[in-house]
Amino acid sequence: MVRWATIVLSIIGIVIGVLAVTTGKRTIPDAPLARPASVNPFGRGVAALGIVEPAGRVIEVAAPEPGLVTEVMVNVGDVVTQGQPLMQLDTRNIDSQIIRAEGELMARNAEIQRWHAIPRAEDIPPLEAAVQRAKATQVDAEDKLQRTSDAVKSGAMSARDVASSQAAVDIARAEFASATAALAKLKAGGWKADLEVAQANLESTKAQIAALQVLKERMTVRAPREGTVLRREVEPGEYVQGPSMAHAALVLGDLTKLHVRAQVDEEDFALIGMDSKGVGRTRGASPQELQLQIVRIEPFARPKLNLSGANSERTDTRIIDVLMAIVGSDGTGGAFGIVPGQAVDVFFDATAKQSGASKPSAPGPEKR
Amino acid sequence: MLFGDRTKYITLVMSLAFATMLMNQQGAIFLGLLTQATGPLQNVGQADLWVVDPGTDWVAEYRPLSDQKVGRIRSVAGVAWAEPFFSNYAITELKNGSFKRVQILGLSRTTLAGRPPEMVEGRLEDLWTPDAIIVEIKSRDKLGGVNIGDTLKINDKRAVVVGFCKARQGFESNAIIYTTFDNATRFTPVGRKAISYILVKVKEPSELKEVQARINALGDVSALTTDEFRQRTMSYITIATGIGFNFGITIALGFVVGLLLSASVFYQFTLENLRQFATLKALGASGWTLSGMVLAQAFVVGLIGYGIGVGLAGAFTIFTVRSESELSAKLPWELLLISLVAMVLTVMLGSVLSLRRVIGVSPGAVFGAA
Repeated sequence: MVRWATIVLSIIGIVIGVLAVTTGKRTIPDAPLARPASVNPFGRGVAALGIVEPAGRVIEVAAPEPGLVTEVMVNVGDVVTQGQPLMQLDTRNIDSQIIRAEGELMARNAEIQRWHAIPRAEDIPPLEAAVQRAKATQVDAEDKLQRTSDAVKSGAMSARDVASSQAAVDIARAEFASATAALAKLKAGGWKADLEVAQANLESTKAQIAALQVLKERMTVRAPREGTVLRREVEPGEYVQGPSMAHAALVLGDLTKLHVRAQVDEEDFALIGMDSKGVGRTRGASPQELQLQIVRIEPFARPKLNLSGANSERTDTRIIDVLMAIVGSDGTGGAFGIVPGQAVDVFFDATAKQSGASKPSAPGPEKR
Repeated sequence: MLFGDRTKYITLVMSLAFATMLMNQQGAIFLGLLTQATGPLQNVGQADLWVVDPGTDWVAEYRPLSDQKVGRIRSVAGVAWAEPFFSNYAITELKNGSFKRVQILGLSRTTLAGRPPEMVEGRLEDLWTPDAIIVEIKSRDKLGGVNIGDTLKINDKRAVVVGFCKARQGFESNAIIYTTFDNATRFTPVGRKAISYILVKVKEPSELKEVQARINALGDVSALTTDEFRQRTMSYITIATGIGFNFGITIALGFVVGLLLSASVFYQFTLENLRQFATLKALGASGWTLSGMVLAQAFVVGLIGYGIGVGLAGAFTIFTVRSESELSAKLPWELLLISLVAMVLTVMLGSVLSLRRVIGVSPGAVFGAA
């Protein structure tokens, strides 16, 4: 009896033991990745972090001098052409100087007008009268001289009287000449040199106004080249600082062509050449594949200073910038839905490149 | 004959059952402990390789790697992807003013590689929302019974619970929270290097060995398969912590108890039945036949005792696993087999002493005293 009980218990025990073995079995779950990871598409590839940037450099537009902003003509995303006004600074100070200079201009003009108005019509008749009077006096004196000469011939008067009459004739002639000259002077108008002085003064005032207009024009900030407004840091009514690295009022960039700047580790750098193919992949829910072509390799290694870096700089690694154009429909970012500043996982094809030194390209002129 | 003596029989079976149970139950707890220590490894199913510092002894102890290593490993031929994985500890302030130490696991923001294996409540995708954390369901009570939407303060930084997941705890049984890598580095002060492990998937599983060798050739990193890392962790705990030694003593004790008890009971039994053996010998049975009889009985008794012991240990294991308690147990078939061999060996060895008397018994003993 006991014997059978123990045998049955034993069999039950072994069954429980086998059950325990199967219960304890634990398998590693194979949960899929939340989003697909960036996969190196090349047999031998070099991975690097890339940042999208405009092909031309980003332009940080600043005000020419500190001042109050009265108007901002562009918004973020606007495409601007070269010379297009971007924002207007307060010009009232210059306007007041222009008003004053315009007043002076009128004064200068009046001076010239006055010169041209000489001779004054009313001044002529008295002088003409004076000429006629001198003429009459002269005729009278000449007549008297004639009569005196005749009287001397007849012996009625002495020769001394002739000399006296002669003197009277000379005086009358001189007075006539004087009166005629005075009339001629008046009729001749103003002095040429006076006119030149007045004209010079006028030109000086005009130049002053032109200079003020230039200063006024300077208060309108214009686009230095065509591009897209990437950032607008200023609103009407705000006071802007003058040119300063820290305070760009507007940021312009040329979005017609985008580049990817990849940061290649110095240890992997030898595997990359100018002809290495590149593939970039954006992050997020719907990653984009970008075909990349190296534009240039910047021959200057610098410390790597980005990524999460919460309270620390990562200074143990040096990286070399490799600039690449996006090969695609038209090279613009819009077609791929990417924007400057975005991070891209970049892989370079290193299968062709055998290990060995590669030289960075000569620093070509950068298109700006 | 042995079955006839009820008292001795029960004593023998029970002692063997107890010894078996001791060996199996202690072995199961020890293996459970080892398995728990490798919990973080079991949570990650997507990775083929773990890249760590070459000096890494076990999974909970790591020297952080610099983020530049991720790029270098992505550049290795045959690597499909490589993602950083963060692990660190921090103090969490609870709503009731108390505090708790939590283990923070940081996942690569885009892929969430190393993600919690199983969501219980909430959505994994919500980890992408600001300050989001996912709490391991067993840690829920430790963190004051938080609910989705509750906020915690981790090192004075805001953390919002967006879900609960099921994941295996590590050796220390801390509360576990999952978050993104950038959040994790914000929650805990990190040094110049932040990455605890780099998870690597190879393109072709058949190339695993080659890829592993290529990563190791980079120098100052070591690529381990999940199995190798588990072995490394287990052997570290077994040898370096004294846990293995302690459990080893208990298991040896079970063996010794079984051996001593069965030896003494068998010897007594043989002495008491020496007359019967003598009779058999007088009837012409050889010493070897008699020995075979004794050993056969020993084998059967050992087997019965073993079965009962295994049943008890198995019931304990099933209860532990089902209740999901802090205590973990694992009963692999290898342990059952080893304990079976050990038990049979025990009972056989115990009977060897008495065999000498059985072989040496003279047929004359039927009539006289031994």
